Amino acid sequence: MNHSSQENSSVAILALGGAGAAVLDNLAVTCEGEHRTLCIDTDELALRGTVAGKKILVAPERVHGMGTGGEGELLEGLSLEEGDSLDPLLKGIQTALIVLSVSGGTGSALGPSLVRRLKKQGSEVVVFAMTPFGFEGRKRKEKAESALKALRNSADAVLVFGNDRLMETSMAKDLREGQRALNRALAKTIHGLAHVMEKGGLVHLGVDELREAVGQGVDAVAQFENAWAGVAEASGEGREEAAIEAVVEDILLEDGRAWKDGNRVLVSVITGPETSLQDFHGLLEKIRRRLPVDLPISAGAAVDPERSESIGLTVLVTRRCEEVMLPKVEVASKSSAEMSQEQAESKAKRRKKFVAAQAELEFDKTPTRFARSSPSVRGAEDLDRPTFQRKGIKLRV
Amino acid sequence: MIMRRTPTEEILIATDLGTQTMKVAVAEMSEDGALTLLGVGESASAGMRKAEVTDFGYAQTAARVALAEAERRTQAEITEVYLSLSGTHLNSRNETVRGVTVAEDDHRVTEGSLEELHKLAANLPLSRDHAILHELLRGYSLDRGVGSGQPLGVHTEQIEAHYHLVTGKRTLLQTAVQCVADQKIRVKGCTFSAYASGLAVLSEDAKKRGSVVIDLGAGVTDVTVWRDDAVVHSAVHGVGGDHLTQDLSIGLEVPYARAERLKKEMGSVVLEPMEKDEKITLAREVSFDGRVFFKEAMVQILQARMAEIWQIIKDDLEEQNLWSAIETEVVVTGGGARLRGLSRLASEILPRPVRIGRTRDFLGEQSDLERPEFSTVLGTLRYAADCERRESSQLKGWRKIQKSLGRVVSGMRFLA
Repeated sequence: MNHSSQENSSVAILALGGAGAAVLDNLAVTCEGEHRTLCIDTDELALRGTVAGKKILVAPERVHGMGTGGEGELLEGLSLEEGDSLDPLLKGIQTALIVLSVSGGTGSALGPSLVRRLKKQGSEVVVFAMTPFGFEGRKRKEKAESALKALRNSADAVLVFGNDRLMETSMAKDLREGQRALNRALAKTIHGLAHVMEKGGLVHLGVDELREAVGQGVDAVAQFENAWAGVAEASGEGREEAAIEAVVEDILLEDGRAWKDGNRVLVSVITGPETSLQDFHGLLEKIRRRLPVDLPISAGAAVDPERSESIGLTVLVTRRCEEVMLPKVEVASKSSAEMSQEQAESKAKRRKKFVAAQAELEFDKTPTRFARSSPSVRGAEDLDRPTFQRKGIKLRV
Repeated sequence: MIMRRTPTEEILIATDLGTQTMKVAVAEMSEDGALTLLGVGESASAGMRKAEVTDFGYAQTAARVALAEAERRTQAEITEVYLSLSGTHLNSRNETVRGVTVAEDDHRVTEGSLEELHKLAANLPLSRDHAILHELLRGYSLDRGVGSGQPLGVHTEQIEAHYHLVTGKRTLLQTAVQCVADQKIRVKGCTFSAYASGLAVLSEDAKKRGSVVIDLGAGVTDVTVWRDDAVVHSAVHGVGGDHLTQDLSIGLEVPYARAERLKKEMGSVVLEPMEKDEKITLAREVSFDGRVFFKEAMVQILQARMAEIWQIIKDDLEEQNLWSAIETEVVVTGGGARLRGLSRLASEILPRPVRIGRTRDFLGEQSDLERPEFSTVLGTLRYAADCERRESSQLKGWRKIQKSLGRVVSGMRFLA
C-alpha cells in the first residue's frame, strides 16, 4: 500500500505509550507499510525509534520527552480529548485499533481520553490492552483495573491480554523473549483483524463482532484477561491443516486457559483469490473440529491477491460475561445508571476544562546527527536536543 | 612506534581518532626522554559520533588518510602507533587494593609486593562487556594510613595502593583499535584521551597542586581532575562541538556544514555591547539561499550550550566534592577551546580561574603546539614516551586491554 492510500485508510492502528509502540514495530515487520499507523508517546527517544507512519510527542513540558517510566501520575490532569494537533491525524478514521499497556504509564493515563476523542468524532474504537505481570505489585494492578474500567466505559470493545500468561508457558524461563512473543502475536492478531475489517472480501468481520465477543461497558468481563490469540501462516499443499495445527499449538494458547475461560471464538482468515465461500466454510468446520472445546465461532475472511498459495489464520478466543447475554431489564437498569454516571461526568467536565498538552514532533527538524550514537541524557534532559529549545530561549533571529 | 632507531633516538607515533578530525603526530624521543615534534597529519573524520565509531568503513578510511598524510609530511614509515580513545562508554572509578609484606623481606616493601598490588588492581571485577583501559596509580598508604609517595624499601606490615580505573565497553574499544590495526599497523598502546590531554598541557606543579583539564572535543567533552601528581577523577560527557554546530544549524536554519563554518570563523559565546545590533550575512550557496540574522542570535545559541556544558562539569565535580582539592586552575583544551569568549563565560560559572591550554615541553615544530585540538594526540606522544621508558618493567595500556579482552579477540591480527 502506498503512503497516500495509508493516509486515506479508514482503519487505523494507533499505539499509545512504549508498549504500544513495541507492538506497532512488530506489526511493521509483519506487514510493512500495509496499514495506517500512528504512535503517540511521551518518550521522544522511543518515538524516534518506532516505524509508525505518524508520530506524536505528548506532554513534553511535563516529562521533557523522557516518558513516564510507568508513573502515569506525571500526566495527571492531561487529556488528549482537546487540542488541534491530533485532528489532521485522526481525521477520516472510521475504525481505530488502539494498542496500549495499562500498567500505569502513558497508556493508562491518556488511553481513555484518546478513546473519548475518537468516539466524539464518530469512530469505532477497539482497544488491545496489555496488563502488568502479577509480580509488579498491587499498585500497578489497581492502576490497570482503573484504566480498564475507564476504557470500557468509552470503547466499543476492549480486548485484554494478560502478561501473566507468559508465566504459565514455556516462555517463563525467558520473560523478555516471552514479551517479544506476546508483542509479535498481538501485532499479527491486529494485522489479521485490520486486514479483514479493511479489505473485506468473502465474509465480513467487524467491530460489532468484536463487541459481541467481549462485551461492552458493564457487559465486559470484570476481570483482567478476556482475550487469547493464536496466529499462524502456512503455504503449499495441506496449508489449511498446517495453519490450524499451528494456531492451536500457539505459545499463547498453550497453557489451556483460553479453552477453559473463553466463551467465544473469532476467526480471521487471509487467503488467496481462488478461495470460494464453500472452501471457507470447510475451513471453519475443520477449525471447529480441531478446537479442544465447542465454542460459538464468528469468522471473517479477506482476500489477498498475493496469497495464492498461502493462508494467514488468526484465532481469537474471548470471554464475556454470560449473564448479560440475557440482556433486557438488567441492561436497561444498568444503562440508566450509566447514563446518570455520564451526566455526572459531563457536569464535572464542564466544571474542569482540560487543556490538551501535546505537540507534534516535527521530525524533519529534530536532530538526526546523533541518531546512531548513544543518547546523551542528563537527569530528565535529552542533551542531544538544542539547549536553546529545551531552555525556551527566544532567539533574536 | 619505533620506525627507525639510532643509538640515542627513537620515533614515536600517536593517533587520535577524533569525531571531526583524525590526527597523527610523529615525534623523536631522545635518550633523556625529550620529545621533538617532527610533524602532524590530519584528515576530516567520518563514521564517528561522540568519539565512537559508528561506521567502520568510513572511520577506517579517514584513519588511513591521516596516517598517510603524516607519513608524507614526516617521511616516516608508520608501522606502530599509540592510540588515544574516548567515548561516553568509558567509565572511571577509584579503587584501593590491600596487601601485606612478609617476614622474609623483613616487612619491607619490595618491587614484588608493588607488582602484586598492581595485579590485584588489574584484575578487579568488571562487568562482562567491559575492559580496563587504564589503572592509574594515585598513591600508596602504609600502616595506620600513613601516605607514602614511593614506598619501595619502607618497613610496613600493611600496604594499600590507590588506583584510578578507566574502563570501557569492550566491543567499542576493539572497534576503534581495529580501525588502525586493519591498516597493517600495530597498535602498541592505548590511552584515555582525557589523560593524554592532561599530560600535554599541565605542568608538574599544576598536577601536584590540583587542576582540572577539560578537553572540548567535537563529539564529547573529556574531564580529568589531577591532584598529587595523579588523576583522581575523570569523566566523559556526551556533548561537544558537534552539538554547538547542530544547535546553530537548527536555530538559524542553515545547513549543518555552513553552521560549522560559521562556528569556526565567527563563533562566540559573548556579545560585546557594540555588537548588539550587528547582523551576520551568510552568502547564497548551492542548495542554500543565504541567510541574514542578528549576531546576538548566534551568541544566544552558543552561550546556552556552553553554559550548560560548564554547569554539567561544575555539578559533577561538586558531587565528587573535588573543588576544594583544586588549588590552581581549570585548563581548557580541544578544538572547542577556540570559541571566542569561552574562558570568560567559564570563569563566570566555574569556581576556579580558567585558561586555554597550550601543549608544553616539545622541541621542534612549535606552531602545532599552539593548536588546542592537538593536545590529545601530543599528550598521547608523551604517554608513549613514558611507556617506552618503562617498557621493560611495566605492562602497557593496550596490553592490559589485550589481557582483559582475552579470547574474544585472540584471533585478531593486532594481538598477534
